[in-house]
Amino acid sequence: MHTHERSAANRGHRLRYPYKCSILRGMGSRTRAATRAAARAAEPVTAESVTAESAGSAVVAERGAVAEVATLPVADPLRSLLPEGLRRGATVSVAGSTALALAVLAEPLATDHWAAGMGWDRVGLVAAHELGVSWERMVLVDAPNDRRQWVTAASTLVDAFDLVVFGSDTRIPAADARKLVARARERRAVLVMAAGPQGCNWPLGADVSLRVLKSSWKGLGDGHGHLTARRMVVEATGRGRLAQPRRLDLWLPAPGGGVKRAGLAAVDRDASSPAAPALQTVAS
Amino acid sequence: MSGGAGVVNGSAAHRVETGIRSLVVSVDDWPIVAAGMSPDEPAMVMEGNRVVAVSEAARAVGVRVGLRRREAQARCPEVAVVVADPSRDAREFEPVVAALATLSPRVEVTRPGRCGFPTRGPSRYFGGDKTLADRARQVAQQAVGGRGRVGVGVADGAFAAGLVAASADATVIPAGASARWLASLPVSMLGQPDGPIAAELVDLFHRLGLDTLGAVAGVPAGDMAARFGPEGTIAHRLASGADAHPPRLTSPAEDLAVESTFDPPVERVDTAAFAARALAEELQQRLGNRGEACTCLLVLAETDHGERLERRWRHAASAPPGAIVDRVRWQLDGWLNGPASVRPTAGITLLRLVPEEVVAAVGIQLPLWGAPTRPPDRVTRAVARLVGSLGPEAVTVAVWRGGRHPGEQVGTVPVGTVDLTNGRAGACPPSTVQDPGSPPWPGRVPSPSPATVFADVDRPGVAVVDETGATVRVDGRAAMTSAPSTVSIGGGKPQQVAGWAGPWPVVERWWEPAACRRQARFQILTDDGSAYLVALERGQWSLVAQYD
Repeated sequence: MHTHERSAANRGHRLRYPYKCSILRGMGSRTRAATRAAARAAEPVTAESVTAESAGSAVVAERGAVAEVATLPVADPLRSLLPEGLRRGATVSVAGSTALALAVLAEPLATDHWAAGMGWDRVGLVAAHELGVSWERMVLVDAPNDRRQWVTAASTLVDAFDLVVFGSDTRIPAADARKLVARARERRAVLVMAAGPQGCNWPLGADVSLRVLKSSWKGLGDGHGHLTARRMVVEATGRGRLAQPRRLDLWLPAPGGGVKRAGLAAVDRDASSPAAPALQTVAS
Repeated sequence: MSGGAGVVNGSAAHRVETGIRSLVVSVDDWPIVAAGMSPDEPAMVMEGNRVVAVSEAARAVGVRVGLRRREAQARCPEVAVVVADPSRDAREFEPVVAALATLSPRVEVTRPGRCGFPTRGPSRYFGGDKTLADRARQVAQQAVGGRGRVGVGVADGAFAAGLVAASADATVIPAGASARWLASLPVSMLGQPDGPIAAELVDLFHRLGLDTLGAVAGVPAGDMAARFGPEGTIAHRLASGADAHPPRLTSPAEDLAVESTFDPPVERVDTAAFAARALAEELQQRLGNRGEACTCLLVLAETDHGERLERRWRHAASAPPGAIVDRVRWQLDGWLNGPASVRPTAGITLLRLVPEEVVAAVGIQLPLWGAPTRPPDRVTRAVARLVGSLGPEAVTVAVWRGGRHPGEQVGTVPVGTVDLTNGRAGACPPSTVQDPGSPPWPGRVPSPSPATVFADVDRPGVAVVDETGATVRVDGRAAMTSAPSTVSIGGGKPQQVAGWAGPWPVVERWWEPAACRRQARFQILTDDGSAYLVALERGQWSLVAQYD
């Protein structure tokens, strides 16, 4: 009975923010359904569900008190792009490079977090290994064609895994995407939209967007050599604290493998679009 | 117990004790012999798709322990395959042990195919180590009946004696000379099957440059203990010619023994084994409560006719919890199903398990990094739910396979077929150190590997044309008609080629016309910075992968 009161209280609390109404409608019905199901099964409330619930509301409330446990780590070279790591419950979109998405995954997977990839069957798993992604804690799920099944499967993943990666074939209506984002926020999962070369079909914006501005491969000559390393300039934009775009010059993959940070001075200004000059300070 | 005579190790100048002087009888390739195969016919014993024993004839043509079945059959197509059965091995070995028991009352079985006893009393009785060894060889050969080579060794410590028995050139190592004899042997000798030293530690010794047992013995004992823990201490003791554990001068407490009586007498193995299982678990429990582990177990049975059967089994203190249960079951199988010479004339009325030697249990030390961790329950539950709703094939995990193409090197298997525990098989790339049998796959695309790989069935078509607008071709000798100048991916806008390399030809399964594939692969870089791996196969260009 305690949880019922708590979820009701949460609902009332959130309803005070009218601009979140569309998200909450989905969540509200889900919570009511869950409450009914729990009442039907007359199961004792587990400690896990209570902590998930309370922690989820803590993240939604953005109090900042749980900041140290509310983020997943990122690899050192990417830290200047994502200074606070991957915030749990956030949506991250990575455009233009699957390798960059893999580089983002590497550190959480190395630190005992579990990831699921849905509709991500084109990911190069050898490349993933070379970038330091251990697949021991990664499960791949085929994306069902049926929309309702897709949403159910995605919700199941969001409930259980720390990171859920959606491949570039993801095509869902915005309403379902919003429900999923709300659920991820409640369950403290990070959603990663790994848009490959074909681009992303995710209908909503993301909390953090990583975009490849320029990439140049080394090692390939005119009829000789082979690809050895790539230098890329990545820009991170986002909401809130990340509203000021950050830019990073990376070797991905670096000569000899892995991810390395290239010298700051070497950021190629020509690569940036005229609308967003490099390293501009924006007062917020 | 002759633990007193010490020798001085020259390099480290510290005293090491010598082990109890022992005689070990070892029959080569015992699982092959027990399966009724002669050493002259190629045969191998398989367990879990891996070869665990090979006959002399099969070894001569290159079949090795640890190979996979298909690889072994490729090296020797006529090889006979026998399924591993430890019970059979133990049952067949019981007559050999029974014969040796006429020389000494303290015969200890280390594993089926190898047993030994301390020589102090028997040696004096029979007139010296050499005479005793000859006698033991004669007795064992008679029991084995010429089906396999019998090796006999006498040395300080059962470990050294076992190695002497396995070697062809020596039989008796004089007292105090074992450490010197051991010093020149490779360090891999420490990694005996069912022995106290794990293969990982032996591999680590190799990589640290400790290539011989002498080098291991030369490291100060304190340093070994500090760096490698109890296992390092045991390795050091064995390499120095001592026993794994210092001799214990007091016998274990009597109340550790467990027994069970049967009324009516038990004649069937499965009935006896069922009772033995509970008994062994009780013993394990008692030992566990005292923080001890058994290294020598006496299995004692009495029959309705008053016969008294007993046998000692020696095993490593770090053996898994099921080791005692297994050994008791093997022994009962050996007595009740063995040849008439060892079979009791009536059913068993009493079974008693007596731990004769116990040592402090040091437990299993989990590694600091990479300790096996279970997936969280929420993950297990979610995976089970998805398998239920989407089907078992829809939820997969990646495993390493061999191959030349980026998509072939790693495959996916249904999650139901693997254990999701960290460190599962196939999660790490096969390295030639761990798996010497892993093929090198010449013709692989060099790393870095592409981050997007297309499946064979949905590879987009590619048009690769030269300056004149003609499609680039590759002839049978892998020579190109012209250099590529523009490329269009999946029917898109033609892009200028900024760099390219190839052709990298690969011909696979040429021996099988239906499955034969000939491809020429190219890396192509376009002027917008995209890099592609494209292949020309049967005159068709297609996109294999993209370096995005």
